[in-house]
Amino acid sequence: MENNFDTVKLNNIERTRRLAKPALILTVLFLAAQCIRSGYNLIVTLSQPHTFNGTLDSAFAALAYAELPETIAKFVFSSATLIPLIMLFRNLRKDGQPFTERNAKLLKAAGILQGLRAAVPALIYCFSLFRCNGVSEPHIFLDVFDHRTLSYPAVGFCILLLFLARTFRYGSVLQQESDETL
Amino acid sequence: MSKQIMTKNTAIEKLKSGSLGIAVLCLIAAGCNAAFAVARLITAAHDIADTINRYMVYRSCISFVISVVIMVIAAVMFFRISKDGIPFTAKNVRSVRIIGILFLLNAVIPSVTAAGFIGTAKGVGGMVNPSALVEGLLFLFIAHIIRYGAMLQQESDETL
Repeated sequence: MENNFDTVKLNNIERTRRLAKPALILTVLFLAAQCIRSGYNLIVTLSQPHTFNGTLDSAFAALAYAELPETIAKFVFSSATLIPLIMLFRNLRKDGQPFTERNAKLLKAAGILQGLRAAVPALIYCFSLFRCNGVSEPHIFLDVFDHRTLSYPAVGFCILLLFLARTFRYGSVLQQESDETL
Repeated sequence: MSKQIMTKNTAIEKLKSGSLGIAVLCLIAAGCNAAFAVARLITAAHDIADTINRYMVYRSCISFVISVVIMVIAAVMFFRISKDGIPFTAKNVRSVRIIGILFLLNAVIPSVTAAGFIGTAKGVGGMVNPSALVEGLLFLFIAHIIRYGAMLQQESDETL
């Protein structure tokens, strides 16, 4: 019976290693695509004239230029979130053991970065509004929570990743128990 | 051994406390998605003469409905975890797998169904949502890992 259990466990570990490879490749490709797309958008935004001259195109260009700090912050934190995930998939590819302290820390790091990806652009946007309008406009505080400034999907993923980190930590306790039993 | 039990109990307590909050958030998100879907349908649908705008409205409403179902399943799962603090159970594996499949369906079904409602298949091929596809695959991968965790949990319970 125990041998069956160990065999099933080993099969699971092998299957995790196999599944981690496409996950790793997809994540790396996603990071590369994000870098290329953001780099291209940045070049286009900076190369176009960014003062409004009455045309629709100049209005979009001026808006894109004004939103540049938020766009850069979104890109930096989105890409930074993918790096711990790439390291996690690389660890899974190497040993097929998901429940380790190291993997739990990587998930926590990804969760925190995703939380920053949600919060920092919203704060940058509100800070720029404060600079223009001053603190006499209290409704600006509420603009932080507007879905156009604060990314709720990013908040959702932050919570999910942090919860997964706790789950993996619990899993590492079980894994340690299992290894000591063997 | 007692240090390990303490660490295990601490981990279980942390999972319990986090899960209840997340379950409540999931229910709030489900409510918001449902409200958005109804509001969009009421305010936009009757006013649309343009085929493409009607397609976009129907597609987003169907996507909202699938999101509501995903959030409700997630809320039920987190409520379950908040009761006993154990994430690695067969029921949770099933729930995460269903969420992954729903995400995969969310990548395709809204655009196909909306195209069916307005009676045209034009543009359906280019309307697969790639981020929902990736999220679906991610959740299926997480389900596989939780299944391994459920095996370790079973081994731990049998040892005790």
